[in-house]
Amino acid sequence: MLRALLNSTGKSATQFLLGIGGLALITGAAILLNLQPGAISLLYLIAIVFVSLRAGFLCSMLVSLVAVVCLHSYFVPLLSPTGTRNPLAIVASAAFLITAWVITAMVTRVRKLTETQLTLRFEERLAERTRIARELHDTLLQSFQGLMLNFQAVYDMLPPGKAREDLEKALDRADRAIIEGRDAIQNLRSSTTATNELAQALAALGEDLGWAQGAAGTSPTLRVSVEGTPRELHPILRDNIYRIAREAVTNALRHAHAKKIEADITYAERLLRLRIRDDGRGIDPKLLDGGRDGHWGLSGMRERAEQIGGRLDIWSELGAGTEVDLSVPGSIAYGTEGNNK
Amino acid sequence: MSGDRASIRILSVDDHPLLREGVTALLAGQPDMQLVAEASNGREAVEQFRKHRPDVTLMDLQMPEMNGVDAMIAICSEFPQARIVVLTTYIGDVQVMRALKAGARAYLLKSSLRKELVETIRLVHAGQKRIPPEVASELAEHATDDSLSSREIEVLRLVSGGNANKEIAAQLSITEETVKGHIKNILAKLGANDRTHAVTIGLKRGIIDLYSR
Repeated sequence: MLRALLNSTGKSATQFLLGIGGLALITGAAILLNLQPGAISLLYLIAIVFVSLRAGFLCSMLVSLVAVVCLHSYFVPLLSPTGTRNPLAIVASAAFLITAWVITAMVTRVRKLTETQLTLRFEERLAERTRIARELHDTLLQSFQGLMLNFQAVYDMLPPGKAREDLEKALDRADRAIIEGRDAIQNLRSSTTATNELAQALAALGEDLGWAQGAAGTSPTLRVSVEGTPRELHPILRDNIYRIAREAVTNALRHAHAKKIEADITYAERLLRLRIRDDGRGIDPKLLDGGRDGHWGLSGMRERAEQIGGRLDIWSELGAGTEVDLSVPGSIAYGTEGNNK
Repeated sequence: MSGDRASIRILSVDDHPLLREGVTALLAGQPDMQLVAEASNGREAVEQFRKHRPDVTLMDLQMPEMNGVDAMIAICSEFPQARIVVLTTYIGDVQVMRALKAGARAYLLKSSLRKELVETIRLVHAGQKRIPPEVASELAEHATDDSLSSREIEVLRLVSGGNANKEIAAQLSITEETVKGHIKNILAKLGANDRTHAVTIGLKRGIIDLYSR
């Protein structure tokens, strides 16, 4: 148990402290308002539900133990003032603990189920992509390739002259468009980032966008750093994370005119985290709160984060840059499949 | 112009009608070529070949019922002199090797048919072989790679169908441990990071295709 505690990341420690803080608040309020033990127990249980939703099973158990201790020391003493045991208190605390643990177990189970469903949705979407790729390959692509031959037949019939030259140029452009389409279909079969390395994909993204920006005279830098050992990610998840990152980097370059962008990827045991900071002009707080007008693609980023069961925090101030913080629970990010050593 | 004795007699095989129509239109403008028959799958191709004995056959690879490679094997075992040009959408070294081993004399990408089909038909008819440079470089790149065993290809195909190790083991009547071993070998041979990456490489190189279920 101690080992598990040590292993848990800073995030769950913070959640634990927050839970304890919540209990302290409830206890303080209850003493001030002189609440009934029943009402207090109920408030404690609500706090425990929140803790088990945000943090893990273990964390929630610990908080419930602390809650029982509080319950006894302030409201339902185990020993009566005369020194005899209070059987009611023992029964009450046992009932409280059992209720708390049942709730925690149920919440944990629901969370697990949601994660399984998310994984299922990933598989479905992957299958759907393959189906679309096959459809496009069988219909659109073959038809266009066939039509190009028809055009070529017409071209062959034309006498030398301007019409023939112009048609040739148009056909060449069409050839390129079809090849692009063909390659896009092939990529649809896999994913936007062919390799598993998110960091590589982000670095490549920096090169692409930096090149476009370089024409304007400035050349911003994108530095990508990785903490922890890169783990296998589900392609759909990888895509969504990559697209959120791309949006953040695009915003930093196009809207915030940032000079320096830093992307940190952290592969921790219990969560995958991506932070992107820039030194640009920042985002108007009104936009940050609203975010629904489609400005800066903020709502799209939030939607993607939600889809993959992640959490997205955007911090920004005018003139002080922007920080985008995406975290995905490890259980979702790394999947439950056992063979990813 | 048809019926000219000197003309090259051609059989066109593709499951997509618009593509066959395009080939017909393009060949109609060539005085030295004559389209004698069409087929929309491998089985029909073999029948049409027996019936018409074309000089040159244009063969699609991915087709229902009988695919292009099997059709070529069937035709070449009966008519070793058959001159077959493969038409396909994607370059994949394994797919190319399979086609060449099955008896293809030339390999053409559908994206370059417009400019190269007519010329290639003449070359092949004259007894030459032809592989476009981009296909040749793809072949060279993987020439020294270890190829997958037929069992490994089977496993990779099941992985691409979204099957978990347990399901693959059940379908092939082997243990899950054996499946894991196969997958380890597949990843190593293909230089893949993970299962999905292996499937992507498998599709790109033509080891598996979207149609083999």
